Amino acid sequence: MPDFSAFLHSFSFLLSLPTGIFAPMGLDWILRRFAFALKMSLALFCILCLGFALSVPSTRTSFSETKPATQRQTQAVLPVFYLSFQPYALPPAFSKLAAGPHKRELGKLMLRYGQEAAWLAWFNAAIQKAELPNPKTMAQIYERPELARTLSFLPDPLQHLTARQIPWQGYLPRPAFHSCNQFRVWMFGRSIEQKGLIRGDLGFSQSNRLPVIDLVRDAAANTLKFSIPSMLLGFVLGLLLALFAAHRRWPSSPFMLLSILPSFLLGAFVFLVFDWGGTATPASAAHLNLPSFLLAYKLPLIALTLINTAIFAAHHQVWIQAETHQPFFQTALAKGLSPFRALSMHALRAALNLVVAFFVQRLPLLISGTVVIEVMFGVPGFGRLAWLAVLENDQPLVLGCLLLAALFAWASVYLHSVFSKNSILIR
Amino acid sequence: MKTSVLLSRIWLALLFLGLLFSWLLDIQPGRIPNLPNSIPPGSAQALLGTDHLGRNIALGLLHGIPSMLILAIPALLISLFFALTSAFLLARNIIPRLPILNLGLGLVSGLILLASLPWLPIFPFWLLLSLAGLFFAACCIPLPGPSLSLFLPTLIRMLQLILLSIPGMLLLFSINPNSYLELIFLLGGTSWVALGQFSERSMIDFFRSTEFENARSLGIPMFRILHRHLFRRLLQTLRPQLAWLLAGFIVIEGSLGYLGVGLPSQHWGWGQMLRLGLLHSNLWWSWLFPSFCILFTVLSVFVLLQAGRKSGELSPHNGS
Repeated sequence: MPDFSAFLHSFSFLLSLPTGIFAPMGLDWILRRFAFALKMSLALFCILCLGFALSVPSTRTSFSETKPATQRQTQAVLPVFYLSFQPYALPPAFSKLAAGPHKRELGKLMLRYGQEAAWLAWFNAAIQKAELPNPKTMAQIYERPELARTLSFLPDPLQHLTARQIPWQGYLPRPAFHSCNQFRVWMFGRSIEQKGLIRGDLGFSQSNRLPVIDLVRDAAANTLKFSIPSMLLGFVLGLLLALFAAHRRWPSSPFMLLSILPSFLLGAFVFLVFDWGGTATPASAAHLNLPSFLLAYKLPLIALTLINTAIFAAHHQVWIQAETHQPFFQTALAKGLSPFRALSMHALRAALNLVVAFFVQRLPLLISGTVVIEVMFGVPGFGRLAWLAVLENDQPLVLGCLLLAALFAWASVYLHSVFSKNSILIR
Repeated sequence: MKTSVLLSRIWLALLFLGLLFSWLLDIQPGRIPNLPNSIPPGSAQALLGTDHLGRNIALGLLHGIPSMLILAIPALLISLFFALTSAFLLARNIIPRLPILNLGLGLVSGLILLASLPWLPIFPFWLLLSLAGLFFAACCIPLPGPSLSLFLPTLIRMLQLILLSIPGMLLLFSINPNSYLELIFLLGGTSWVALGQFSERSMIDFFRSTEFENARSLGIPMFRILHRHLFRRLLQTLRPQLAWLLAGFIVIEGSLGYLGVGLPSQHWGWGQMLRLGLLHSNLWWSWLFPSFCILFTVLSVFVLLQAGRKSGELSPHNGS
């Protein structure tokens, strides 16, 4: 057997040569970050696919339960993905049916009772007439074949069913390829109206027929209007409180306890304490400029600022107090600096890396961390939009919200890993 | 013993007692006896009063205990399992050296690649997947000399990146789980990354320590070293992290209950009680008692698990 090791050693040496030469110029740093960016892009693609798989209509609900217009818009009549598998015993035409509970039950009935052609003909006719029975009824037929005689919608051959042993072909998978499928339409588009995700088209909302991208953009703008001020205010107040607490050598537990409290409890507290006159929130925030918006939604602003202040204060205090045990801090005190000055000038500077990294880490919460507060106070923002979309089962809108939040989180993870000194992820 | 720790222990003991009662009495929201609406607390019929629909608040609170614990504790165990496994694999850099598996992976990837070439314009996803498969298969080949195996660490790092980039609450919204099992796995399976990173750092420190080297040179089996030295110490170090996670799960359960989404339809918890109570805020007992229950539980878990820590868990000098 040829000895590959010498070849591999020389190959790896050749590969490492440019990195070694340019290492002082930071090429290694750049190459590592570039490789990490490639990995992150793959991760983003996986997130997009996961978001699609979670929100695809036909995996959760049956397409026949939705309206025809919605079916066309969401492409629910198409197969979900390029490749699908079905039992070999079922006819190839079965793979062309749209996925969902109906198809699942039909496959089970065909395997148990045979007469595949008759079942398929009845199913296609029922789809055309929009008279498909409930999947639960089909499941009952699977359990009790005698029930079929009482069901008038079944044709004659299917009313006299006899259960059989599932043939061995029923356990073999038959792959089927679908060139036009929901994933392709969602990702790459199909027509001028449906441009696909790669061209920035997220489709239309099922509940109000408006473009998802517009709805999400407006809601996100409203959320950022009060989440950015509250985050900045919380950061500054938290830092000041942490410096003061470290100066007084207070324990960090009270801030920790405050930071772990559920936001709906803090929100309820703000609601009960600050809402003296029964503040009326405007129905729409489209016409409001930033000061009017903040004035109209002062209660959520207060609640969110309280939460952010507690979290920042808790973390900053621990980090700053840890630096006070270092020799440089003792030296600064010995040289005659006042404790507060030594804390703010030296301990804080030493802990600044962690402080900034933590701030970057919390950036995605600007968008996705305000759901409860927005729902509680009726802010027409991103979190409330996502909540309403889930309640109304508006899948394109849910997917749009998930994608925007994931994009924010993705950017934050990337920034945090790139700029932190000892990130595990970037090795 | 500190008063806060003592109070926390008493509260958690009461919770477990409530759990026992709830199982013994088999309390279900549908079976709660219908009483007159809005009875204030202190009456003989209902100790903590009834809500606007005449449901007994005390029985509702008792039913909320198993809903919360059934969700939070298994999810925490699943998170811990994922975190420790991934940390161990990454810290020891364990690489699968299974030539048949690698060969099979390479063959399948190559076949998919060949099959996708004629369909290139409409087949981008499978092309990407097969290229990735080929890359991983090539990396796994157990060649002599320097190891090129990158498969498992790369996969775990990628999984960590994906999980870090998914907003948890919105993910639960989108999936809208149908059963507790689904929800438990979702919660546990998406929340282990921070715990895993922390464990990995601790494990790397341990494997580089002279203590580990000495134990190995004495011929002590790996399992015994892990069991007696690493895991016991690691669980002590992880206590504050576990406190955060458990309290976080309780908060998530309450928040989802408050919002009324992302929980199985049969779920009835303190979050729902609080939401309905705040809708009728004049009945102060209907929102006050659930609020106190959530507040005390979160604080007790946090205080109790934090009590054992030796130093600041967020300190930059102890590896966090």
